[in-house]
Amino acid sequence: MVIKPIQRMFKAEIKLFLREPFAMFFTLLFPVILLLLFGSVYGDMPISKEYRFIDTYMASLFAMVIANLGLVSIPITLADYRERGVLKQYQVTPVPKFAFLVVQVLVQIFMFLISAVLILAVAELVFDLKFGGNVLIVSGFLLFSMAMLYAVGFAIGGLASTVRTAQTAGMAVFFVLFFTSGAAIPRGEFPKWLQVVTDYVPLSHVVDVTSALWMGDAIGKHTDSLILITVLLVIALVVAKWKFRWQSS
Amino acid sequence: MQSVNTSASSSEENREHTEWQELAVEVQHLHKAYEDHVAVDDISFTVKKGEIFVLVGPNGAGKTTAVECMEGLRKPDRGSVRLLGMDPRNNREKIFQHVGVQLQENNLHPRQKVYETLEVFSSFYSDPAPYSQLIERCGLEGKENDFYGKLSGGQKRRLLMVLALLGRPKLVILDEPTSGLDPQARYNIWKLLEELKRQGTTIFLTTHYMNEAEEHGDTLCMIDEGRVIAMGEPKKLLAEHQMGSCIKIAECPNLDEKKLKTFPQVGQVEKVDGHFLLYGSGKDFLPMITSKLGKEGVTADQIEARKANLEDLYLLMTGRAYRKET
Repeated sequence: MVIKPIQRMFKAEIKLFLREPFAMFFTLLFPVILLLLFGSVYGDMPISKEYRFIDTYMASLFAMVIANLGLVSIPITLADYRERGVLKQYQVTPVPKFAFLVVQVLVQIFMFLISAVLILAVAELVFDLKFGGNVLIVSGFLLFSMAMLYAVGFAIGGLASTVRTAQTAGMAVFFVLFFTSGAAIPRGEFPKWLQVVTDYVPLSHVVDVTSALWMGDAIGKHTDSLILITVLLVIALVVAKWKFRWQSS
Repeated sequence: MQSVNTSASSSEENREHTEWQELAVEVQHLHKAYEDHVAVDDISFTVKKGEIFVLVGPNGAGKTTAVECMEGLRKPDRGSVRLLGMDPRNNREKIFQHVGVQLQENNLHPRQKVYETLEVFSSFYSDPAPYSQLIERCGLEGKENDFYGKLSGGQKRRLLMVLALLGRPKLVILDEPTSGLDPQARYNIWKLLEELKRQGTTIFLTTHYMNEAEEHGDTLCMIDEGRVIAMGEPKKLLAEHQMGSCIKIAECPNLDEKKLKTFPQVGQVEKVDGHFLLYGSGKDFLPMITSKLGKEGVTADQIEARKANLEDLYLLMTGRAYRKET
């Protein structure tokens, strides 16, 4: 009974996403621009015996897209739907309440997949990638990171009282993480003290572990990152559940 | 609420079962206060199956709060609500299969096309009505590919009416369904509602148009300051208040409200903006009052008579001053 509404809402939400220039830019265009720009400048720089910068840069771009979807797109959508009263409208229909939330998560996962395919295709064509990891493990870790960042997004969307505050808060958190995690500028370029400080930025762990897994590292070597992401995921879920409202005021 | 005592709970169930066979809505001692004011102060009413029930009252009287408590959107402080025998806060998914709701605000996504919205909302119901027919009945044919945000205010209102009717509801709760509609749209929406009533749908609505309430309402409930101030069949309410005719008399030095009240068959007297409004009923009310006034020196051109209507009763009971809205 709930499958059909989820299918229809998913289709409708994807269309809405495609009509949102801001989200489209950050999901599809911006990562490709970064890829071409940083790839041309640092692409061939060797990272190890076998890998070049471009190979590990995939992790940075994936992390950037996931962070943007989670920290900007989700809070804005949530606050917007609440402020406009769309959620109130859903409440006076028989659709189960969780359907809306499930659809939001599915849409953001789907948009990440589109973005990742595009990034990989362009990178492969232009720079020729080398992948030495396990596809399932890398995908699993990315999905886990998505869970954490999307949950943080729902928490921000719940804490923000209006669309404007959701947008400001989401963008602020996103840009701070983006620049301090090495998703924008590789952390290897940072001075030593800044590298130590930014070791504690959650998105750094997403970037570092993804790139390590990409180059064939075992996931078992990164339990500290997994624990950190799990803790953040749990905290974000608690806040999101606690602060979630169907109606403004 | 579940009772520990099984015999008590079963008799309760039986009572509810028999009642909801005739009642579509049952609101009992509803009470809802916000931080700074009491919005709904002990309101009770019942809506019989198959009737058109109209809730009226000034802005800020508590209509929307009462309606949102009925819809389960707000939690009442005290009192209970039953829609088709069920508590709307506990049986949302079940109730709204059979209860169509039009909220007061037009709440849809501006960048969603009309047909996309309808596709989504249709999928929520186990037996949705084909929306093309409803679109046509609400005068929105040809608008399917328009963005919701590009529709006019009246079109948005009518699309929300379509959404309320999508699930073939047994009961509809409409908060100001005709506000912002032009006379053609109002006429057609009422034609549709009357048709739904003939097919057995129960219709609960709020409005500010007293002529609509008078013409279409089987039961009228007037609320002010969170309380019910009048309830019943519109014609009977007018009769109860002796409001058959309304005579408007220009102010004249010989007359005052006290004197006018002593005239036979006079129900209510009001002094408004330099004239008197005299309400009364009875077979020879008009000629009798005219001759009485003639004796007081009031000439025929200073007298205007017409049929009293629900708006007169409404203004008499709720006053003519603007309301402070909170």
